[in-house]
Amino acid sequence: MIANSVFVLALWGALGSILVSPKSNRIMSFMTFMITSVIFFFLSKNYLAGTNEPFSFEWLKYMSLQVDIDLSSNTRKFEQILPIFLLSIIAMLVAVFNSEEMRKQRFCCLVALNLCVVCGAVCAVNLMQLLICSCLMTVLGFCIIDDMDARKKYAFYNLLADLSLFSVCSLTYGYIGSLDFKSLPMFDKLGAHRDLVAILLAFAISLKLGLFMFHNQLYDLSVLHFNRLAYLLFCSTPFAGLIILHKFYPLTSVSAYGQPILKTLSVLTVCCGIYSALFMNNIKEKTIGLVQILFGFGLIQLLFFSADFKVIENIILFGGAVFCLMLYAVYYASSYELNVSKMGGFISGNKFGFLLQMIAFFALLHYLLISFSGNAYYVALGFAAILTIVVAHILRQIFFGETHADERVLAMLKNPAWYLLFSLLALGGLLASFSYQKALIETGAMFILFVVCLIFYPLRKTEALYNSELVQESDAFETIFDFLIITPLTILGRILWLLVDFILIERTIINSLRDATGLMIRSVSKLNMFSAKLYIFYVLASFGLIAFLAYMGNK
Amino acid sequence: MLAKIVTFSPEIFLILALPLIGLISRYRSSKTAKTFYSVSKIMLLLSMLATVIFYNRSPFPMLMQNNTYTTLYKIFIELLAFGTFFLSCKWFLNKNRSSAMYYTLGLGIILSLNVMISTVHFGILVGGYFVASLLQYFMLKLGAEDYEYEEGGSRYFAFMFLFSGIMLMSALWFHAQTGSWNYEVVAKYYAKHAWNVKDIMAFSGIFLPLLFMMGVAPLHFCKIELSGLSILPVCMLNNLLPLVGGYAVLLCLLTDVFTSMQAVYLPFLQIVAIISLLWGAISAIKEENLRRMFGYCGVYSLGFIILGILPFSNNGITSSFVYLVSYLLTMWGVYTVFFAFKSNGEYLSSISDISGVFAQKPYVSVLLTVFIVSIAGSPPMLIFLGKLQVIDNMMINHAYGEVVVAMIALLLLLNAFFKMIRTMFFEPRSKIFDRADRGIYFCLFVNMVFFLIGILNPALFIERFELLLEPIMR
Amino acid sequence: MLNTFSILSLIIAIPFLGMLFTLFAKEAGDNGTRNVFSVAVFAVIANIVMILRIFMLMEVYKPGLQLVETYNWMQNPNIDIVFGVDVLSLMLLLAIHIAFIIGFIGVRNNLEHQKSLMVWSLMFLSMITGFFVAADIFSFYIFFEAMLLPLFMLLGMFGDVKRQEYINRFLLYNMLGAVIFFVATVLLFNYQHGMLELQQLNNMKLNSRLEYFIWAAIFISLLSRIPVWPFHYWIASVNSSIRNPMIFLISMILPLTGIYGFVRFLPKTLPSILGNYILILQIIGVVTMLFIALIGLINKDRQYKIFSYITVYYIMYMLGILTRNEVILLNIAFSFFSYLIIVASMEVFSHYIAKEQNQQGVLDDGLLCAYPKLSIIYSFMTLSAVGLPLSSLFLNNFLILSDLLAVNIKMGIIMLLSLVIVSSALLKELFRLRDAEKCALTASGQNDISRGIFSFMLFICFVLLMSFIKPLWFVIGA
Repeated sequence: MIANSVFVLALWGALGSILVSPKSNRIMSFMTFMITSVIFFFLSKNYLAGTNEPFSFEWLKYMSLQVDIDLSSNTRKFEQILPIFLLSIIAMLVAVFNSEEMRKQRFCCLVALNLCVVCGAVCAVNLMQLLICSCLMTVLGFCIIDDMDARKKYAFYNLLADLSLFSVCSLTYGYIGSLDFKSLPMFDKLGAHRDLVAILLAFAISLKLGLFMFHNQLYDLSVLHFNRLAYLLFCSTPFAGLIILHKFYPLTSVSAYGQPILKTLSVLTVCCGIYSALFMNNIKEKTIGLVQILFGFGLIQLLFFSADFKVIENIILFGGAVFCLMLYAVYYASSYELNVSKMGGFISGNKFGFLLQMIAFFALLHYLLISFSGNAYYVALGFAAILTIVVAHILRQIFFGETHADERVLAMLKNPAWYLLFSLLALGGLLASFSYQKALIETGAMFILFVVCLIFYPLRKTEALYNSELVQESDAFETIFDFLIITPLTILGRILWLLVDFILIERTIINSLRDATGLMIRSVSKLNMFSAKLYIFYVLASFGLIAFLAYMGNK
Repeated sequence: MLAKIVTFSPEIFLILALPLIGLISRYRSSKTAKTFYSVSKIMLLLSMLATVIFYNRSPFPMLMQNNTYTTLYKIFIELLAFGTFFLSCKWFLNKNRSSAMYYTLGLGIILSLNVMISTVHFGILVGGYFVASLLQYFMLKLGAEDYEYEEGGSRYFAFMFLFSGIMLMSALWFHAQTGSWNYEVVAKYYAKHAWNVKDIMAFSGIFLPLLFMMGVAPLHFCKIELSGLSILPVCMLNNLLPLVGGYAVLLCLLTDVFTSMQAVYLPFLQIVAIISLLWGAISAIKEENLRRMFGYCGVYSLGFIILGILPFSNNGITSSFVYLVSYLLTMWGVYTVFFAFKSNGEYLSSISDISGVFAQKPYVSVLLTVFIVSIAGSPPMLIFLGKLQVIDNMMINHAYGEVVVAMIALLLLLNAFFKMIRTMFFEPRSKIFDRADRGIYFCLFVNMVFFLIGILNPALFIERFELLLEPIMR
Repeated sequence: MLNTFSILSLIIAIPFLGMLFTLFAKEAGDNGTRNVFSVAVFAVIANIVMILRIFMLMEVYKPGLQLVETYNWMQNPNIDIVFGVDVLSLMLLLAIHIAFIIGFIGVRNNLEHQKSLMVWSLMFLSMITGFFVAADIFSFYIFFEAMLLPLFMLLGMFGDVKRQEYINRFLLYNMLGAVIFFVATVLLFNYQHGMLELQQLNNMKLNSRLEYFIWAAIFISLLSRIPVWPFHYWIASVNSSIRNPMIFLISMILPLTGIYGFVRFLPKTLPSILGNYILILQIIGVVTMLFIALIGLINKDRQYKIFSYITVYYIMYMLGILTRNEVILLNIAFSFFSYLIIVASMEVFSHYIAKEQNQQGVLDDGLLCAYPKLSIIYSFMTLSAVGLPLSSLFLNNFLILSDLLAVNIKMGIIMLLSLVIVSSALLKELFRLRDAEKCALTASGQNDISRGIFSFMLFICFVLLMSFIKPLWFVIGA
């Protein structure tokens, strides 16, 4: 089933991406949406029916490289694929109906193609398939981003990640001689340079996920259309990072460095996410911050408590989608106002939207609270509290208090578009459907906390930071990377160029040869003068030489 | 007697040509360069035919002995002369000058060289050398007008006389010692005798003039000086024919007569070969005159030829000969191209004169490049065959030091060629070049045919050369 | 003379005949230039057809050289000219021919010295074809040196004001290499008392003194072609000065001859003497890689960036070959196929961009935004070049690197770092060219590449993609 879906989507997506025409923009995008929805429907049906369908294609069968493309269907894979399908459908739906999205067809078809690649990544049973899918996700992500500035860091970071992953795969394959994920644990016995492998892997995952230090790439995406941003945040390369972590998990523990690096970075990512969600003025950056918190949380659960990947995936994907839709709805309702500092008091014109956002958010919290047990549960509880405070803070600034919006925004304030509300409701409903009757007390407590935060607004002083250029504009890591890596490399390059190329080769070797030749020419030129005396000298010298040689011969 | 006269016919035809040209010049009213060329051509062809027919017959065995070796060289000289005469005819026609003297002297030089090659008599050798050198001197005067020439010509005359005199003294000394002028007797004298200073000097007296005739460094001075001063047909003739003649005689003398002097002449030749290689290559870089530059290339090539021949093994003789033939064919092509480099009726002799010639004469420029690359010994050009054989021979004899010098010289020479190619192809045109005669293109075509045959099937020539060189092989 | 009219001789002869036809073709006027161009293109396409035919004739998985032709050239010394091919040489030939077609596209509207350009290019093609089918040491040397003349002429005729300097360097390095190689060839020939076929070189046993010299000579001469320090200098100078895509391409193909030389000359089991040489070479190689990659990163010249990319890859291939691992060798061959095509395309279109920039009198920042078709092709090539799974480079580099990392981790890491740096440099350049905000041109697509060229390049992209999806797909029976 997955294989069939991938073929259909790939064909449709490829055709749709090539045959772009302004006339067919909406209809083609709608058809893509419909096709994806139908496929989703059938996939869900198969999932519920517990279909188990093997599909393996022998792609390369050379002595040195045997690669199979696996697109087998089973319950576990359905569980991983279906959330992405659902979110992709939402993204397509928004793209079809949102007037701000100009290139609907292209976007929808790219999403369809990305879905194929995601399926490939999820189904991968060997390093090569995952590596290729990861790279293709980078390319598709690159295409989905329609702003050059946003592309730069994204492409560089992901290229670095792919190359790191490439190196990890190369190294692993070099030692264990197999591309199969099942053989990965053998690396612990057969492999060498474990530290390097673990560090490179951690680096690749951090870059793909946009963990702390490498999060700038995600913040650069804030110039994109909200829908594209949302899609990229959890359905594209960050999701690839998650899959990589999942599939390569045995390699993270082959060295003493792999897991600690990732663990540290995930904790720092949560902090970074909280910082952005609280202090950033730009609503899109706040969204990114919230998604970062989720990614950090997911990683903490995975790495510290070995949580179930399916649950983490659901939390990250659905949670991310919920946050994005929540803030997108606000952004839409306020006629695309970007700065939170220019909002406030929106509840008057946007009650229904607020209500739906609350439902979705608490459904998410509820799901988060019921998914863990033991120590992981307490961590989840803490996280839920943090999320509640942060979200309450943000919603307080948007919906309550004195308005800072200008008259135009206020006048045009409206409820969000139906497709946003519908999506929000659908997600909220879906999350709620997982929970049944459990953890109601904790959720209730969170609700109280939420209300308290709304009323007392404890972090009100942070509002001042919206006017701080240092907080809003500074890109500390870019400066650090520039200072630590780019500048030294540039200086080194210049020094080498000057010292080795210019001074050593040009000035020393080549010039010496030139001078030596010049000297020889000058010397011989003097001997080439047309003079009888010189000629006589040559004749005598010839006779003398013969005499000398004869003398030596006789001797 | 008749048999002797018939056997002597190659020389007779050449001798007959001289008065014939004189008579035509004196009595025929409508005479052009073509007329003299036709006469020379016919007589030369007849002489060649006779040379081939009587390749192993000698009219006076005590004085001259013909064999396949002498025939090979004579034919080469005559073929080269034939080509030179053909091109020279174009020159004289263009200049509207009388060519009678040129052809007369040219045939005289050929005759003298042929006699030098065939003879086994030191007296005749000296005579032939003197006549050939004197005729060359007279030839140099053709077309010479300026003061510079007068000086150079005088110097040549003096040194020509000096070397002829030295040669004569050596011959007389041989005669005094052995009572004979014959090569064989002198060879026996040197073989039996523990040589003293006078023997060495006598040997040098024969040896060095021949090197002077060929233009081996450091005795190349006159050849180079006059290359730039003489007119093109004379330059071509004087640079190609005496080289072959001198080489043939030298080789014969060193292998047959002065074999026992190897301890002297082998290191000497080794040294002069190295000097020639380096001197030729370095001097060519700075030289601005086209003909002198190729003169220096000749010096360089002679270095290669001499290195190749050492230590006079069969392999060395063949390899050296292959190099010589390739070089001569290439140089013939180079001079042919010089005949095509003409502007306002004047034949160009400076490198700067041919700046940008490619734009107007692409085929000729490309062909000159082919010849240049060939001289550089780059594959798959013709001289590469020679270079390959020579280096192979040097390797067989473990002469690694010489190989290194040869390669350094080659790298240096490339600078000169680079300058030349740069001027022709990469620089803007400075002159309007005259249309070249069709005959020149024909010559180039013939040259290229030989080139191609030589490149594609060298075995065809080399095997035959080996057979013909047998008389001096050991 | 055995089997003279056979297919390998023919693929050398076709470009040569094409050259002669081009030489005698009329050049005057627009039609003349087009005429010359068509003859040249026809010759190359004809040869591509012949090469594909050879693929059909040979058994792809059979080891050793096939379709061997022997021609007795000389008897004293006894030299046979032997031709033969294997998958490696044929793959390289096919890639070079395709690269030539792409190069010709880049110069199709060139009006200055078009005939000379075509003539010398075809001569080069003929010589390099001979080089790749050469199966004995003499023909190998002959073509090794013979290909220098056309390149020299091209550099001189189409170079800029500084050409004398870099031609001097070109001559110095290459002729030095050729001369040394010649000496080594003759020495080997004498030592073996006769003809040496390249296949026999693997089993060659030399005495220690000779071995020392022979290998040093072979290493130096082959390295003189590869942009390894300090030999990189001439190529770097040429590439930063030449503004003609065809010549850039040819000068970029030249290092391939050095790399290929290593494939043919290095014995399967390395003699102990080579251990030292290889160690030195590895050190020099990785340092050069990093060094050139860094200069590529800081240099603002696009051509230099492409050069640094090319250099890093060449050195990586060279270091791969030095391992003498069969898997690496095979992958290098396949990798070269995509690599040459990508490099050719990038260079041709980079030149096109530069030309448009000059004609429009604007900066090239964001220029691609005004040229959508060009943008697609250039982006595809850049993304393929940086190693994304769009061509066989991806798979082959994976295998090459996996083995190299296993062989020498430090070397492998520096190699990876260099790859990252050059890839970043290329990407940076692509972003700059596609930066819509900085685009000074408003009219879109007016001077874009023609539909024909676009279609052809799409076909080339398809070929590259197929080389990834189904490597060796064009080899019948593979």
